[in-house]
This record gives sequence, structure tokens and C-alpha cells, in this order.
Amino acid sequence: MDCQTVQHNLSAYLDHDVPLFTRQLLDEHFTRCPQCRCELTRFQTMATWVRSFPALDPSSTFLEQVCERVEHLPSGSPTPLFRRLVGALPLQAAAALVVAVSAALLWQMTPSLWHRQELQNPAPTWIEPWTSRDSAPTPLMAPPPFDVPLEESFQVPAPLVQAPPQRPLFTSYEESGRMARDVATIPTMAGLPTEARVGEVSLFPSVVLRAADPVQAAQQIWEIVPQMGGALLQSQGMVTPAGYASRGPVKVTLTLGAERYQALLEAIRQLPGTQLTEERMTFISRELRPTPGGSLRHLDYAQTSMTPQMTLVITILPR
Amino acid sequence: MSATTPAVRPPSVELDVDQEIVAQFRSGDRDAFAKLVQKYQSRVLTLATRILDNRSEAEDVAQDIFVKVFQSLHEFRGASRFSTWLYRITVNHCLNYIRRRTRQQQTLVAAEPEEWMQESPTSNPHRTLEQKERWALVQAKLQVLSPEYRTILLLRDFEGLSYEEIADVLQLESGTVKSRLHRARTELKALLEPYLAGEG
Repeated sequence: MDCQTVQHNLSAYLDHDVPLFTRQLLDEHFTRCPQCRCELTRFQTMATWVRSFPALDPSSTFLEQVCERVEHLPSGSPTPLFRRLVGALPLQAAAALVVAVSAALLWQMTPSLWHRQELQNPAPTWIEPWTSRDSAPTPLMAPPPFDVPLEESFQVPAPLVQAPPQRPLFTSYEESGRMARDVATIPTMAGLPTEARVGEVSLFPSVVLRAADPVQAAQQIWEIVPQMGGALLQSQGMVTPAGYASRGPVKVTLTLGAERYQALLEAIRQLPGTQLTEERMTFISRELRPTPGGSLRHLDYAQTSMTPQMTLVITILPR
Repeated sequence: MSATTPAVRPPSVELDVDQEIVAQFRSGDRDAFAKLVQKYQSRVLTLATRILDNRSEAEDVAQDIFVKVFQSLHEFRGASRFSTWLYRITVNHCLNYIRRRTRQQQTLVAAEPEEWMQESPTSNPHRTLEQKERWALVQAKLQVLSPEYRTILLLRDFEGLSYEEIADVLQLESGTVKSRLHRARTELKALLEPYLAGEG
């Protein structure tokens, strides 16, 4: 053991905090190294000096003064009421109490939050005939605006399948009708009954890429998605040892704001060695049935239409 | 060189005694609190004096500490020893006090380096002048260290706490305590080197 290592272990040696084997090595070193032995002696002397400080006694009125201050504490109680209550309970009960109080506060705050949300995103005032108090059908209101402006200024090339961009995940039948003017195949693909007053259309896009190294391409997509405000949900594929190009397919599932969909495709197209070969859009539609909670559905309707979020599956195949 | 008995060594039996006193206090016995003050007042005052380097300030801070103990004793769950919990409050109070203390006050403290040496009449009257000078020297050099280093060194070498207890008091990892203590000792040794060389 060299002197530097010994010096480094002196403090621990002094506290008997070195393993027996190390201690034996140190002892052996001290017998043949006067410099380290002297250093150890100095450490020991210093510790002895600190240890020899005398204990000090407080003034004779110390206890009296403390008790007097304690007696004159505000509210005459050692701790505030809540802390006393919590302190008197077992730990689990105290934790449960805190959770219950938090939940009650949250419950109290929630209606005001809902109210604020409704003010920001007013739900359509149209009431479905079957939930209306009188049987007279209420006139339809125009759906809320869906055309969220794109932040990106670059030109978006046309997708392989002409799906309407900037469309929310959930929309109304009227909206899908408007979409149908742009893309005539949508009503057929969605399968919406023409007599339905309101329907839902869910768009599930999936994309197939070809890449020289699918894992590397997936990693590049992992970096792009969070920058666009999206989040990765799942990645599946072959595990490839470091330094080797992956040969198996990789599937990436992610969630993304619908208005960013085309921007993501554009970014993927610009990835080196990656080619977008297929883009599919699956439409899942359903007719909304009358429910007792019609107003709640309206709230959902307003919220989802303002924050459309879509799930996208990207399959990356090796070239 | 003669080995000196540490000023304070908490025996292990204190654990049960302290818990019993704390239980008495929590059941409404106010006298139990006075028992705790009487038992630990010297230890708290001594540690505070060593950290703050000012006897009168340390006495005020020690009072604050016991008031804080009174207010917080209901929260003491016995997960650690009472003495460890008390040390934690003491150290936190002292370090906060140092942070608040103005530079002007620090100068005033430096002008009275031997104030802390005023022992009680009950202490040993046969202490030599040499010993008192040595305490003053070590105390002065301790003040050169950062408050954190000074505290960890005092907790280990003066109070005799184990690494685990110091980690509990300072809310540090045991490994951090070990390395920080090594650095504190190395710094203090460098400051005391001329005097230690004379001893050797």
C-alpha cells in the first residue's frame, strides 16, 4: 500500500471504519513508514484535542427561562390544531387524513374548473331531441371550428391516401359530411348511416417506412416526436447488438396532436436512409345513441374537438 | 499524549429512558419536558457554543432549540433516537443562525475569542492554562472551517456520534459523511500543523 492510499484512509482508520484486511495493511505500513506513522499520530492528537473540549453548563436560570417561553407560546398549545391532530394519529391514519382532505379540496375546486373550461370551450347548445324536455327538435348549431392553424409554414406534400389534414379524432356527422365534400370516399369508408343526426369518426393512421436500419430510424423518430408535443406509447422490434445494423422490423406506437400529423410525416420523409412507402388511414365510426347524460357528452365533444389527439402506428421495415 | 475521555457520551440505555420521558410528555405531563431540558441542556449548549463560537448567542439559540423541541415533540415518532433528533434540530438551528448573522456580528465575535471558555463554577478548577490555551486555539481554528465541516467534525470527534447517526442528523448518505469528515479533518490538521508538529 502506498503512502497516498494510506493518507486517504487515515480518517476512516481513526474511526475503525476500514475492513480488517485493509487495517492489517495499514498497520503494516505504519511499522515501516515513519512519515505516515507521524501523520496518524497528528490525526489522533487533533481528535483528542477536539474531544477534550469541556462540557459547558448553562446559566442557572436557563431551565426557568425555557419553561417561561414555553408557557407564553401563542395559542397556549404546543402545535397548531391540524398538526396536533395529525401528530396524535398513527402514521397510516395521518396519511389517510391528508389524502381525504386533499380529495375534498379537489372535489370542491373541480366544478369551478369545469365551469372555466366551459367558458373557454363553450359546448354546442343544441340538445338532442330525445334528451329535450319538449318533443320539438331543437335547431342544430354549427360545430365548433376545427381548422386549427398550422404553426409550420412549409408546404406539406399530399399524402398517399388523401385524408383531410387538421381534422380532430372525434367529430360530428355534420363535420364528416363537410369532410365528404373534400374526400368523397369518407362517408362510405366511415359507414355512417345517412339518417344519423350525430356520429363519431375516429381516424387511426398507420404508416409504413423502409429504412436501412429500422432501429436507428425508430430512434430518430423517438427524438422527433417529443419535439412535436407527442409521446411515445410503445416500441416493438428486434434487439440488435451494438455496432450491428438491425434487420428485423420495428413498430412504433405514438400519440400526437392531429394538427401535427402532416408535419411529423414531413420530418420522417427527411430522415436520411428512410423512405415512406405506405400511409393508411382507418376510419372507425359509430352513431351516437341517446344517453341520459346528454349534456356531459356535449362537454366531451367540446373538449375533444379543441384538443384532438391521435394514435399513430409506424411500422419500419428493413430495406 | 494522554487520551481524554469524551465530554459527552450517550449510553445506550438512554434510548429507553428518553422514549419513556417523551411518552410522558405526550400524555400531558409537562414536567417531562423539564426533565428533557435538564438532561440535554449542557449537551445542546456546548455543541451550539462550539458551532457558533459565542457563549451568549449559544445560550439564546439553545433556548430557541428547546422551545422548538417543545413545539415539535408531538411529531417525534421514535424512528431515531431522541438525542439524534435533538442534534438535528440543534445543528439546523445553529447553521441557520450563522447564515442570518451579519458580518458585523461575526467581527464582534472574533474580537472575543475566549468568551466561550467561560466554564461553570462546577467544572474542574485544576485545568491548566496550557489546556485552556489549547482549547482556544482549536476553537479558533475550527471557526476557519466552513460551518458544515465544523459541525460534522464536532459531531464525530466531540459528540462521538457514529457515521450512521451523523448521517441521520445531517440527512446525508453515510458515504458522504465519511468523505466530508475526511476533508474536514484534513483541513483542520493543516491549520493546526505547526502546533501538532510541536506536540509530535
